[in-house]
Amino acid sequence: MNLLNKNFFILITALLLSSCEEEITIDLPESGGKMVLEGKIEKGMPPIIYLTETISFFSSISVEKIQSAYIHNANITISNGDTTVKLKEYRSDSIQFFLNTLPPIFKLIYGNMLPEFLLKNNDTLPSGTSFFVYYFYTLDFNNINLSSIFLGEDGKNYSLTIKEGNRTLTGVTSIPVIKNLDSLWFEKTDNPLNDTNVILWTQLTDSVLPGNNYRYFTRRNREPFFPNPYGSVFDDHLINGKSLTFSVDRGRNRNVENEPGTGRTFNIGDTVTVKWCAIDRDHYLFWRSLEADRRSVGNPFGSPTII
Amino acid sequence: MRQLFLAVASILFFTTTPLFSIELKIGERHIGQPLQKNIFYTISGYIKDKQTGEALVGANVFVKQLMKGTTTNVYGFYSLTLENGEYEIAYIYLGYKDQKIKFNLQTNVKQNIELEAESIEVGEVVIKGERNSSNTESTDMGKIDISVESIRNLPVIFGEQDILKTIQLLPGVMSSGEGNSGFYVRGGGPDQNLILLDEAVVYNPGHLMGFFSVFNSDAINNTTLIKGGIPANYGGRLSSVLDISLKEGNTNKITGEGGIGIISSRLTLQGPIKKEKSSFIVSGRRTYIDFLLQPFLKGTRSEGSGYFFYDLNTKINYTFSEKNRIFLSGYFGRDIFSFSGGRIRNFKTFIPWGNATATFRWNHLFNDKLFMNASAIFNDYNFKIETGVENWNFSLSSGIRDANLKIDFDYFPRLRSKIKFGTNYTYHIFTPNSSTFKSGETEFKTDNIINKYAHEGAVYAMHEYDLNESFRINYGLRFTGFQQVGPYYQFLYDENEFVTDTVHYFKSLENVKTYSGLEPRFSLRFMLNKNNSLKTSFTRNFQYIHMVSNSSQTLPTDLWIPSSLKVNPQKSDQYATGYFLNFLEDKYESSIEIYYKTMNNQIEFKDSYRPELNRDTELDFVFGEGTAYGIELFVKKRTGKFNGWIGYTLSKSLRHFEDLKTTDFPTRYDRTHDGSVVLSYQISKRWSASATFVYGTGSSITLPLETYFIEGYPTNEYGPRNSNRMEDYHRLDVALTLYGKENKKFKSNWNFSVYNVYNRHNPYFYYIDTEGEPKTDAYKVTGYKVYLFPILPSVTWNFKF
Repeated sequence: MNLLNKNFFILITALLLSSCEEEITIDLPESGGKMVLEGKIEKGMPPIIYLTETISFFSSISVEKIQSAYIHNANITISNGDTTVKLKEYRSDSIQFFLNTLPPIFKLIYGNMLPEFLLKNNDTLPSGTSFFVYYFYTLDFNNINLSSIFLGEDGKNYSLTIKEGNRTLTGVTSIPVIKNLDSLWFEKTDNPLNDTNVILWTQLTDSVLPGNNYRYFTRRNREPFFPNPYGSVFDDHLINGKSLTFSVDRGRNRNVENEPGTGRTFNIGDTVTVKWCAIDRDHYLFWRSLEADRRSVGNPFGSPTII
Repeated sequence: MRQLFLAVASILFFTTTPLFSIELKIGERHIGQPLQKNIFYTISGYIKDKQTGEALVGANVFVKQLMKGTTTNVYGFYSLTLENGEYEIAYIYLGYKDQKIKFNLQTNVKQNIELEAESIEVGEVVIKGERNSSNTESTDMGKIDISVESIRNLPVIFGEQDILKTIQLLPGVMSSGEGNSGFYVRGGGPDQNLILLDEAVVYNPGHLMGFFSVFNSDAINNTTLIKGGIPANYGGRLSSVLDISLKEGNTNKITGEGGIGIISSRLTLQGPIKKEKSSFIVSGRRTYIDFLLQPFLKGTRSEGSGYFFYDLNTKINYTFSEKNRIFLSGYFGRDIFSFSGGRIRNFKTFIPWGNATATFRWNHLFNDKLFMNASAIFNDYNFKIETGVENWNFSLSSGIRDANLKIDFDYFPRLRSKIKFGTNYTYHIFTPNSSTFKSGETEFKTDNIINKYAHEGAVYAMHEYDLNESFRINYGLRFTGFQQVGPYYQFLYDENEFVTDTVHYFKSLENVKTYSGLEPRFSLRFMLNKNNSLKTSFTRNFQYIHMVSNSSQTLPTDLWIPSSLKVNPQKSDQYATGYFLNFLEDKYESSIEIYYKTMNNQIEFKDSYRPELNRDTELDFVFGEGTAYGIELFVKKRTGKFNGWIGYTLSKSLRHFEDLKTTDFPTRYDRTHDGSVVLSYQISKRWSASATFVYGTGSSITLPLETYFIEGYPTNEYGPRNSNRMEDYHRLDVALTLYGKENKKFKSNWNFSVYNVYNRHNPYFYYIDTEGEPKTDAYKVTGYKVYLFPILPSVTWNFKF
């Protein structure tokens, strides 16, 4: 809705004004080096943590620079209140090796969680670029108790402690109980000339208790799951306890320019998987401001959203 | 309230009595041939323009023998009380022929005056409608009057004269953006300007995102901007008062004027309804971008889309007698945007917004010394969106509505003593962004946002008085109160900011929260000699209603909200001192003013704020303090073939917010240097040329300094709030006006303007964008500057009959 609002102003402005744009060099002070933690735990999945540092914006960002932003050898522990485990750092270039060492069930789990690693190989990279190595922390599979593996569970709270050098970072999250979608179906677009695209619709009945926050991803065929770049989260402020029918816009990789004309739709013949998540309030607020900020780039009426 | 008002009024009268004795002594020295001492008589009346019958506001009435005088009020009324005797009185108004009348004052005298505009003689151009040497003489500080006449020939953008863009060329006033009519005064926010059109508050003065102001210059009689030393009769905003009065309508004959421009045209008609008794003015304006666009949209899916705005000013007045006169004036303006089509499911949107105001005024003369104006004012600002796609519909509406009653008295007890007092009451209805949307048969609506209601009241009294030949003092007191009343649901929120079941309901008219404040106003003038003076002033203001925006532009969606349980009123104290000098026989006026201003309870949004519908914006506010200071220089040449002004401001505007990540930061509109040059030259009888040049330090902005990756996507980490600057802003505009051949019945001119002559790409905003997969060499970070207007010529044909 907000999007509509802003777009409307841009449209009006564009109707009348011949606004122009040019590239500039902005002198920004050198900074960077703040610790950034991205961690995930989902129902039935082991925790996975990426630990990096911020990079100064105009210090000629390069692959090497981004590569070197990973923080290694941190001491990370995660607890669900009952059990505390220490996580181990892995490299993505040894991912096949890593997967091969796993018990079969985890092969599938990690295979789903880390598809971007599997998609990337030297064949698909532009020539002259080197393989990008990801580092992540997860359960230590060399040292695991198969009878009580640390996996995400509905309704549990998790706390995380990271120690690296003399920096310490802590975080908490929880997995709320999910209310599943009622149904999903495809419909043709209203453009009679377009017989190759379809829109994915869904019906959701929100639980009568207020305070539900949702996030969703879609996956097309064997691609990874992508969130909708224009907003992947919403809460039930407006829809509490009601049934709602809405279209599920296709998630996509924001870093790749979109194919024209098919922004939110799927192609006939696609196999689509929707990942429907319940998230806690802090998690929701984080995504809400992050996505708002991404949207406001290039909008004269927008303003930075400090995350 | 009433009792207090009487108390304030009586305190003031007491204080005036002993002061008279000082005045008498001075009087004795100066008055020539008094027949009998200590008998006072009054000369009073109205001063008008002879041709049009318009009241002349601020005209000088000068008693030659005493070297003292008074000025007319906003209705053109003056009153002079003098000891009996013989006097020569001069009626003076810049651009008009002086009129001198001799009085042998043995009784009270009614003297209405009609001044004749000076005809333009080659070689000497006089700008009509400006006050005389009041610059040095009055206690006014930071006050500037602009006549529409004086800006007629200035360069314009889009072919339209705009009073709001002209005031941005004055020191201490900054533009809110390229081509924008929004303005900031002395480090204050855009909601801190009290904008009045015939006494009615105009809440959103911009059309088309502010590129046009709602004020049609053909219908305006007088514009006064007060930046500091705000007198006690104004209140309710921290930073400034922009008081615009509409013309009353020609009382002698029917006349018309208008203009045809590239994207808009306007027409004004005025004339008598009943000679000497009643007159009217009607003025309208409309853009035709929508008509111009239609041919291009025909046959496309967007057929029927468009945008236009129009506005209409009307005013009628009726004079019952010398003592009673009524005025009825109104403004109605709308911006309408409609959009249909698009790729998706018969998408349709209709968005109207605009202001409506109505003012009824009654001027009553109790006696020759006591003038009253009573006004009943209604105003309404409203913004709506209606949009839908097949069986999905959404609507939103927001706005503010006021009913306002006010009574103001002007009392002229003696020469060199003026008293004003009055009272003002407003009932506000605030409609926040309340929205509904429908999906099929199901309607979604949150009912925790409803209208808010409030009473706002003020009583004031002020006294302007000459202590002696050198010192004049203007002191006043304003007492203001604000009360939010029911119906109101006070919701309690849980840790997720969801409404809990605990709700406190306030019944209709039940007190929710009350605030009040005393606002002392003071200014002192010390006359060094006839041509130069020193002045100092102190102003305290409370502001009970607020507009908070997270955008750098003022938008029609910006919401006004009342002070409430959570939001305290804003408060400011301003100290100012200045030196005023007129030279070369008052041809030039100049001033240097220094100001220092503190502001409390300033409002910003929380760092992570994101606008959301159906959420009380109060929940996302944080509160802080503001400081602004600066020095303003102004030199103006008022007469001659060659006239214009130079203004320069050196200033700082800072904020302190404990609850923001950056606690101390400059405001978006903090501009260290801000200057303008406005020149106008009458080349010949038929040609005139003009130019304006503006220069300003780049606006402060918040840019990302660092990036990090979340889910593989780059994410911005911003630097401290407003810690970066855009490039400096500068621009030159020029205009040529060609007057048609002299014809008594019909006058016309062509105005050719060029905006941004040297095609400077002034930044409108900056943004930083990334391209490509971050983990490859294709990844690129680029900074962009967006600018709005390259060199932009326009032509307008203006006519008058």
